[in-house]
Amino acid sequence: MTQVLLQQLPDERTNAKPLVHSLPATSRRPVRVVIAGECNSGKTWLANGLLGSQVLPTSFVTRTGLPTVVEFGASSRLVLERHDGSRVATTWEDAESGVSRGRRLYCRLPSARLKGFRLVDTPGLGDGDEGKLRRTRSLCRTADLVIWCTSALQAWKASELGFWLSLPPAVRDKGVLVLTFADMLRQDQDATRVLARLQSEAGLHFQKIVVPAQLPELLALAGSERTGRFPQERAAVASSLSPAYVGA
Amino acid sequence: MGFEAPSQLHGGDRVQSFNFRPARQPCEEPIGAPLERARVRLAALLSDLDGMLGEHATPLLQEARRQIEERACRIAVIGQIKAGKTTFINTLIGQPGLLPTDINPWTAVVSALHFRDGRKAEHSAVFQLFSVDEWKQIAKGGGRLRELTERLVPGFQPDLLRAQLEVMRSRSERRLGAKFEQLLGKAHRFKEITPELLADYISAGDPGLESGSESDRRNYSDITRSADLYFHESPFAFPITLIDTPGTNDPFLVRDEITRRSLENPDIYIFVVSALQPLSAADIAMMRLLNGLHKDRIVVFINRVDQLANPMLDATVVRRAVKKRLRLEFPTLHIPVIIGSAWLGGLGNQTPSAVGDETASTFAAHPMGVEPAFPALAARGAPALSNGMAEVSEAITHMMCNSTIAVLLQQIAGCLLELVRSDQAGVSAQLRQMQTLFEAERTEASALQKKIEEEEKSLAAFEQRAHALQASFTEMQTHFNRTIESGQSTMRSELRAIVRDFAQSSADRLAVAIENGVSTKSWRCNVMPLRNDLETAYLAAFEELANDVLRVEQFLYPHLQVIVSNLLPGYRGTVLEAPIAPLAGSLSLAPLSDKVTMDLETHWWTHWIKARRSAEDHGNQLRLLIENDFLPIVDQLVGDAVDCLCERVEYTMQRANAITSGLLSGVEQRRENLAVEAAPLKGAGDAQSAVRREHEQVARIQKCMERQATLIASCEELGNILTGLNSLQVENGRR
Repeated sequence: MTQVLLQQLPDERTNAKPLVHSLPATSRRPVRVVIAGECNSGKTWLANGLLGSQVLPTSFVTRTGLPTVVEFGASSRLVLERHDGSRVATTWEDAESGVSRGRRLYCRLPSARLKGFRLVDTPGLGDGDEGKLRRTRSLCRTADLVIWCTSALQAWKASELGFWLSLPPAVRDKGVLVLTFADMLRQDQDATRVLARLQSEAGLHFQKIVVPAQLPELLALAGSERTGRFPQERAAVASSLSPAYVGA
Repeated sequence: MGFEAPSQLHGGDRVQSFNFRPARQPCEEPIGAPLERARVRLAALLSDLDGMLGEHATPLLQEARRQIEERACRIAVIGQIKAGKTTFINTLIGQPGLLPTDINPWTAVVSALHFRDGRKAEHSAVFQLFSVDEWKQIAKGGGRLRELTERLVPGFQPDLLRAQLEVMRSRSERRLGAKFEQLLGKAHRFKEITPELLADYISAGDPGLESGSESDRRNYSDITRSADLYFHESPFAFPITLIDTPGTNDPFLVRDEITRRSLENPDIYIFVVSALQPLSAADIAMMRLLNGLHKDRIVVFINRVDQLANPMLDATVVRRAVKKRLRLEFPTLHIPVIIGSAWLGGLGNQTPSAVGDETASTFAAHPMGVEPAFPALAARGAPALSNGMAEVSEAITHMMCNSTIAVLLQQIAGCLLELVRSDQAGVSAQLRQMQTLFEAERTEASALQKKIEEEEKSLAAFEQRAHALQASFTEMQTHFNRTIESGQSTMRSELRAIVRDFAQSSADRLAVAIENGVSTKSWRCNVMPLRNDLETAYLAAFEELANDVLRVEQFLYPHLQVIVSNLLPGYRGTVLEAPIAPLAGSLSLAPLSDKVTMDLETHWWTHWIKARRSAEDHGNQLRLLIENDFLPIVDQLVGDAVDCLCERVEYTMQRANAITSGLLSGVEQRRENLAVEAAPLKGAGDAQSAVRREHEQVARIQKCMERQATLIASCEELGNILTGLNSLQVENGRR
């Protein structure tokens, strides 16, 4: 799936240049991107897509439960930050099995893409773990861009809306709703119709609603604007809302 | 989701022709078969007994017949939005595509599908629209949610709810015309069920996509309150009513409200969850709602296994994870967990190769063209994976054998048995009397006179004792009522005290927190401990009260047993043994799961806490909020407990009264006999009339004996039915 996402990027969706080149040379620090969503909403899949390779392990049931920060490094390394703040090298196996405990994983990669952004893949929400909700909320606060993943197969539930509305408006302004797994829909027009529903039920709460293929363009844009906000996009979103929502 | 392309899957074979293709293997029994056998036998017996028992039995028999003929097993299919509930129902009834499904939340109305063989209802589909009052309440943003938010922050109307209600109102106007309110309060009836009809009334429809010019059809779903669909051909053995619900966890809050309200009285719940996100917090919350409804009533169906990346491997893992989570959350419940795919089950009606082709081509044609979601299936053509539908059917059948339906059948059979036995006792006494008199008459008139006098005397004594028995039954009832009355007030004050204590301590904690300047930003009041405490205290208090009732029964029954055995030496009834139905069987904890203010999302609380008040005022207000929410819940719980106990007492009394009235009507018949026998003594009859009378006597005795034979046979049959029902339960207990 990763392959598909990336192959589609340049030609089909946009005319945007590859991500790395489109970033302004003057960037002082990479764009901080936080990917959040409920369990199995395609967060890690999306992260791998943005990274361009199967960096993060996707597993269906077992999850590390730790946020994973993916950032540029001179060499590939996986580091665990313990609860006391100390850091040790670890392996994916250890992290997954829970042998090594801590509060965060740092995955360093010598990938050129990561000069433009820094990704945080958060653990899946929806199991009612209050601590996880709190941690994800505070991660979102520090982000330049918050990507909320919702699965096309069971898109935009009240619990997702509940979490999203619990974020401060300033954070929500940096939010992008991504419809994942649209490729698993069995009819072509379905994705359009799901997007239409998202637009009318969630459009007000996000900067933009997109499919994964549109993300790199957005990332590039976020990089160039530095603030992570897209005023012109906002106008577009407002105009596409169903009449009843305008002015509500 | 393509799940719902009936024309595609079935080559245009639409729903109008009700050919129920078995969704399961043909060798298997349809759902509810064992119970249906018991039901049919009971119904046959009821018509045999018609006119056989005295007048006193008529109301009881009528009630029994009504229950047996009309009561269906209610099965509710529930779950979050887009879990595949409707697809599940379509597959279960072997009618893929009957109920409309879609990729967006599509079921907007609670619909009941009534399945009963051989009875044709006048209308096949009845749609009840909201009444004017109901609509006003909805359109004004009424309902529980509004009530709760009002309580929290008066005057604060959540934008979201307001926006949604506005959307709904304007959509109704657009779809149905400005005068749509004139439609309210009506019921629309149709002779035939068609997919188009269902789409008009129960599909949500696309928001903003319909322009109105495309078709003449109008969508009524926003103003439809309920749908009843009647099928006179049933894929099930037992009469079953399936209830399809809109999903919970719907951001469209109005729909969520409607669903919660519909969850009151089903016998069995099928909880459909998606394999992709099995048992999320929202699912668990929903399970808690059902937790009060007893362990033998919930089946969890993990749907959409076909959408797992690797169905073969992941299915086992998911199922195990779900079982583990359920054990952790509800340690005392045994909930069958079945994994499968309703969609695959629906395809099962086709030939295997067609399934493979269909699947493969759908994916090939897809623009985003990723690898198939279930390569295993595409490769092999036929689904090697179980679609889970056969297991679900089996689980439902087994659950039915333990459900309130089975208990109901048992009670009916038990009650009939008492009636028949007491009647039989009366008949044999009558028979003895007639034979004695007959003998006496043969010897000489004076002996007959003497016998009749003796009979009259013993009859009077018998009648007196029967009346005494009736009186003591009445006294027993009074005693029961007094016990329940005093018990309920103790229970109420105990539970109320728990609420008050909790409210006070939460208020104190909040006040202290505010005074100490602790951040109240993310402050929340967790009422789960209160719910747990209430549940524990409630169950304990109920058990105590139930034990009181049992003690009264145990004290009184032996005394009554002596009286009855004196009255009826041959009586072998069981009325004087405590009934087997478990007391707590119908006790519900559902009120505990009512949504309260404290359950609201954090952002509403932020508004509340922002208000400028002193710490003390905040505390006081919190205390009031908790009390206002939970004291009514306490009242409801106590009310439920009283209902449950009264039902039990009423059942016992019903059986007891059946005996006494049987006895008294037996006395009546014997008295009539005596009168007939005494007639010749008053005016000396001629020889001819004596012969005639003798013939009559023989005929009467003959009839009486026949009646006795029938009653004995009925007794045996009832005994067999009861044994059968018991063994069904035992069999289930072991599973």
